[in-house]
Amino acid sequence: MSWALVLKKASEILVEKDYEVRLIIASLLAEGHVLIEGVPGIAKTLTAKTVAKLLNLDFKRVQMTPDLLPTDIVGGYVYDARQGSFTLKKGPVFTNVLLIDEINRGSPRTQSALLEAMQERQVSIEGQTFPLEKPFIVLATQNPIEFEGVFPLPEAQLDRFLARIESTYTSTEGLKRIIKEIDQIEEGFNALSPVMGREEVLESIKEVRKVRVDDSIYDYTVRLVEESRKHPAVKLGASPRAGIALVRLAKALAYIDSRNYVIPDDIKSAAKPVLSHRIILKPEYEISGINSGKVIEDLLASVEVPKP
Amino acid sequence: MSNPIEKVKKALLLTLPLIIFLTQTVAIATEATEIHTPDFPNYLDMLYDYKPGTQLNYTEYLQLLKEFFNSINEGRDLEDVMSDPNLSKLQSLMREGGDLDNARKLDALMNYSTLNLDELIQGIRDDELRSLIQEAALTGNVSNSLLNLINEMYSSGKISFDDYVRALYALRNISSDAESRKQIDSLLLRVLGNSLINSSLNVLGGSESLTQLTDQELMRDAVNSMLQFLSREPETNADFIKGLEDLLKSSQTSPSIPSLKLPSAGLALPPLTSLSIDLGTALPFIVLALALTISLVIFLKQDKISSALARLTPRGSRPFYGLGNIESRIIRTYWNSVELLRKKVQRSPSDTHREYYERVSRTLPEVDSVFRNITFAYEKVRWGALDEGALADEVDSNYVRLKDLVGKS
Repeated sequence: MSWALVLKKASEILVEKDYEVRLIIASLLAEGHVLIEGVPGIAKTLTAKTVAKLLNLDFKRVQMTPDLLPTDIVGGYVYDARQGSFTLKKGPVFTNVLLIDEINRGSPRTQSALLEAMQERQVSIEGQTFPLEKPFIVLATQNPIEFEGVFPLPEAQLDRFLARIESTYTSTEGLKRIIKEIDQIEEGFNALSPVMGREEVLESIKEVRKVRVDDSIYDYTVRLVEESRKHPAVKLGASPRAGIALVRLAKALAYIDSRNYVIPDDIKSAAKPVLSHRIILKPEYEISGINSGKVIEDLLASVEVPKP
Repeated sequence: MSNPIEKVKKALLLTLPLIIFLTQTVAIATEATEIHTPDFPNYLDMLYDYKPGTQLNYTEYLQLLKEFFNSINEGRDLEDVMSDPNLSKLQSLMREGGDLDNARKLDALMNYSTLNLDELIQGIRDDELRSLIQEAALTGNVSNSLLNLINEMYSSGKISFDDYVRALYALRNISSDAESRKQIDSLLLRVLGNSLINSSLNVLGGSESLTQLTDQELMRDAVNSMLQFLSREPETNADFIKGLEDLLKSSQTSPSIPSLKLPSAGLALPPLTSLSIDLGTALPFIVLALALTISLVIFLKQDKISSALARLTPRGSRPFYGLGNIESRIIRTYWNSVELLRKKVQRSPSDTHREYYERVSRTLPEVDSVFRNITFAYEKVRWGALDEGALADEVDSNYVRLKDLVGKS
């Protein structure tokens, strides 16, 4: 399966979003979910839509608001007057690619219902359990500069996201290209045809699980996780779940790179998206301008890669 | 992050200079204890047993006592005696000698002489004595019977020393009769002399003090002056005479003082300075230890020890740093290539093979192609568990080319 072709097609529509697309696809293949942090207007929705379209997957979008209820996401039974009975109306969670815009604007209750669906990959409506169709990925966005009228996700819920992507502005050349070629970009998106189908994606997910991981790579991962807890700036280091996520994402990245084995570079590539939202810094270091990204860079520069 | 064996190696190498330094330090300390005099602990005991009075300048004290009593014996009047600066010095020495009670009495005797009649009368605490003095002040008459009464009150303990001295000075002010004044002055001088003698017995009477006296003749002179003073007094204190005579005897029976503590303790002083390590001796070792530590850290950080060890062994049987059990030709060739290139492009322990390749490619573009082949062959074999097969020969030929290219560059 040519994931290189998917990446190439996506790059034709999305300007300077190769890193984001690669991580979203890797997370999809690792059966994880992605938290995208970025200011409005940087093509987060278009990125999600493009990936869904290229993979021929169903796509739904939910704009989180404080008055949104869990049933607005998972669905519920609605009375049908013609038939004289209740019929099930499935919510937007019944899809393959679910884009949750501004997840931190939703009430904790709604967030919790969504996160439960993400973790269990099934929803319960009126006592009945409905499994969600595979593949299923949630791409949740949040604005890092919004502090009013939001409900920040607790650490335990952040841990449920396999990866966090910090989406940034494009370069000057990229911005010029977007402004200049917006019509062609929109036409290109409308004319975009799938590169592969749902079945192929499911097959790839199975293949990713078979990717070889040398024992020394596990040792390297363990050292990274343990060292993250010893860093002087860190209040709460990486959890065992973070270690699992690190290897899963590394396997998916290796697979996208057409390899059936993981190399230390894959772990390094996965480190920042996997660990950045799981490492909690001490307030005094945060105030002095240190962020989790810097801590991860320190870890990668200090932990020895496996030899020989 | 290094493996446990490397950690142990580093720890041992870093500990070596520390051991060298500590060995020298211990040797110097041992030598220092050997040159101590046996009396050193006694000197420490004496230091901790320090008591007030042991620091008194006895020579000065005895000299002042002698001069002061001689002047009284020669018949100096009260005003001269009280204004004598030696009296203040004696008072200070009495304080230093720890006799605060008599020093305070001397203080009263000197201070009350400057007060006027009203101040003296108002300061008397005993009501009866005060009324007696007030009555005398009204009549202007100081009779012998009054003086006897006041003496009786003091000797019986009815009135305090302060009241007694105030009363005598008050009566001295009241009295216009020369005979009465002379009698009062002699009473005040007696009080003064008794205080000084009492004090000298307190200060000099302790055996510790006596053993520290160096000038025995001076002591005998001072004691004799005090005895002479007492002999002139109509009412002498038998205890004072006995005490002074004892002092006199002790100074005669022990003409020399061989067991003086201070000089013997002084002999133990030099070893104290020997205890401190001579900087001139220790400095080379400190510098050596620091230089060794710094150089070891630098060497270890740059993996130079491993390179140096590898260079020392013949090429055919060259051991690999951390590659002991690796049989793969490709993996061995890759690390040989890294070793070859490390002279020109440093490799950090946290670098992956791909990161290192990218750096080599940027720095030495001429080796890009061959080192790329070696790196990716290594990746497939090392991480992908690929069977080496024919790839090994290709990697070997790439290695030969790499050696040529590195040699030329």
